[in-house]
Amino acid sequence: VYVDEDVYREGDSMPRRFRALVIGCVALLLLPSCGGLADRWFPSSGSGGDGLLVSGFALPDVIATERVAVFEKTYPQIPFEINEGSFDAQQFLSSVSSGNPPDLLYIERNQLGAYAARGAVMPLTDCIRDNDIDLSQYRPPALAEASYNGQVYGLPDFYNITVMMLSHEALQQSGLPVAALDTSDPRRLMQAHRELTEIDGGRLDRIGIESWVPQPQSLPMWSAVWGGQILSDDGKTALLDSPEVIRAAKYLVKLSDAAGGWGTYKSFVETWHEFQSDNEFAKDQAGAVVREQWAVTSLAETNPDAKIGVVPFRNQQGQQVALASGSAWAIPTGSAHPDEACKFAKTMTAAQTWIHAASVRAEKRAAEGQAYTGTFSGNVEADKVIFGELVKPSGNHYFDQALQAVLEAQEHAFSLPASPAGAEVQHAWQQAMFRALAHQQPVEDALRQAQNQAQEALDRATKRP
Amino acid sequence: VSTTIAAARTTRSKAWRASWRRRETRWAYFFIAPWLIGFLIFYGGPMIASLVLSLTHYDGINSPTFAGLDNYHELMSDPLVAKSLGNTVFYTLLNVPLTVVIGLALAVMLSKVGRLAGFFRTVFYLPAMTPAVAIGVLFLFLLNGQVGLVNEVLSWFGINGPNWTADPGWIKPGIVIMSLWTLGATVIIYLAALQNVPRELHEAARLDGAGPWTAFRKITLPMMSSAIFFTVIVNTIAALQMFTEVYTMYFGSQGKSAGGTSDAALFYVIYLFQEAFQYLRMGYASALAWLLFVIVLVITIIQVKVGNRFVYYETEEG
Repeated sequence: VYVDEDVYREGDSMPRRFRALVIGCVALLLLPSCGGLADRWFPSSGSGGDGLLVSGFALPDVIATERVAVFEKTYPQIPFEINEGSFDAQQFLSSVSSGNPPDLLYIERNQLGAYAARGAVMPLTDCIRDNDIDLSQYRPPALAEASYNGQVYGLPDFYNITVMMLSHEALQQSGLPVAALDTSDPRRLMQAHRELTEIDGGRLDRIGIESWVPQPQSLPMWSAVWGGQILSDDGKTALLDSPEVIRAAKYLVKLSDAAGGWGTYKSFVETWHEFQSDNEFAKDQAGAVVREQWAVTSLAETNPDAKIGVVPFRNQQGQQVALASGSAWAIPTGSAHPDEACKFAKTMTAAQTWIHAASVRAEKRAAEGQAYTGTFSGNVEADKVIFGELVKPSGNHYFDQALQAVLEAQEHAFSLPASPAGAEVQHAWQQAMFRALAHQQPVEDALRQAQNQAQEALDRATKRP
Repeated sequence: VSTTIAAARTTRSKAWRASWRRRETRWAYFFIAPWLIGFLIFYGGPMIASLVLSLTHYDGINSPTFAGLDNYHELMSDPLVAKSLGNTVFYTLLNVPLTVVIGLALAVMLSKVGRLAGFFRTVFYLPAMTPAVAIGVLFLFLLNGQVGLVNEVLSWFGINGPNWTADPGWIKPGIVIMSLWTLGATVIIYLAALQNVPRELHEAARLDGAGPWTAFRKITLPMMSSAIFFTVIVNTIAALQMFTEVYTMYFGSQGKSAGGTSDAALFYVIYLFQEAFQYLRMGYASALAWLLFVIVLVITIIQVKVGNRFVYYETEEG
């Protein structure tokens, strides 16, 4: 056996020089975890520092930056940091597990129920009381969506509703009146869909009505047309196999079949350049599409001369219905600065803050020679001023009429109840719709299977200690 | 017998201790220490933690509660486990053989190119450097049933291509086509192995009257068998863990805007991710992770056992 006599001494299990090197390396590895060096080398990404940490919120436009500026001006003594980017469940769970959650969370309202049920976000009872927040300023469907078990868990931010956008040019080409796109008359609507759809040699050139299936809003919205809902009011019972939901799902499958079948339909929609100037309306690829109302304002910016309109969804009694969704501000349990977080949320959702940001946006658009088409907040008072005073006629009467239709539909909106297993319920019905659309399974069987899966998930989530 | 085993253990233990007196041994351990420490901290620790969590009900928020083998019982009866495993195995069975065959064919062609070999090596390897997310988005367009380039090429031969991204029956073959885009790494390994095949063997075979195909079958393939064996194992493990490209295409924001997809694209790791981070079932996801680990381990052991019968190593005698 070779022995290095220089460094090895009898009785030593490890030579001195080598031992010193190993100890040095271990010390180097451990040092960063000690006191000041740890902070300097590995600054904490979560709360616990002096400032308020806001997560899940981006600053893409003046509506965001100006509202933040209002907070800065109102509370100059509160330092804050915005961890830009959309809500990331993986990041949030990691921060919660490490006991280092952000102080304030910007999150889609339909995700709040699951976190509220598990105690990851706190009820805002103290926040609302201590900061004198007037809940009546918020749109009731938005507030309902951000509440769970009778307690408010989020302050509503944006407010979106689902409507049908139509192309006047496509309707004129097909000799159809706007009234043909009336969901309260499904037979007539299907006929209009068939007439608007153009298929040339198996290749789809125009979809009559793009139903938005299987996007999260689609089945709940179309179910409401038949007077149904996919979840009970308390969000704890799935109603996916109810007759109304089955009728809606069957109708969606028929719409898909009439446009060449699911494969053709989906492949065609995948080619659309939504939110760009060569979008589906510009290229005459759609007679009507189901979208959230902000698609109208987006189109007004990319294609100011487009001849588009909006028709609301109506139930079988002819009454307007619209599914509301959007985002909210929530405070994670364990937030190091809950009071500051509450002040931030209150300021961001206050009427005056929205109005200020909208004014700046309107001025900016005017300077660019463009019309300001509005911002849809969850604050009733703010919207009154924004759409009553700041939004002026755009010069395109089609857009102005579309906007009026959206504002009217907003007054007839409903929201899905906050659910402890919302993601699983959604996944269950979406997969059921895929199977039904591809004719792998009859609609009834697919939704029955989804119902069982969804209810199982809901039961599991509500049994949680 | 027990005395003999004990004696052998003592001898091994003494030999191990004695090995520490050798400078080379100590330096060897020193140099591999960063990897060992990294492995213990970033792999060993989390693996043990996930094994413990797999025995609990844990939502990633509240403290875990002991659940015994509940999660393992549940995954045995979960239809989505069977579905996602089926999808993953189907993909693996298509992807790995195709990667080996096409990779080998390309490597053989590249070895004949001569002066431009370096250029083509780079060209074939470039796709392997493309970010997985970009590949996912790119192939969502290329595979589009209406205007995709793949169907456009098929139409030149009078073939009416399927709806690769929408038809449940064609989604997985479409994903296999996408994955072949990045077989550059396998090609490079095969090319290196081809260049190591001694020319004398080919010359001797030619003198003995062997044709190109016989020489390839009897000399080239056996001499490359260790490289092929390596790529089969590595590609199998990678295929069983397929995630990023498919998630981008069908489950991420790109997929959602296109309308998502059916369970035809639900691969095992995607299901695991959904359970952990969308449905907040970290304990169940941990059990899923351990099932995958066991499956990968068993498949690899079988491959090694079977492979050892066919693989030729240069250090072998005779």
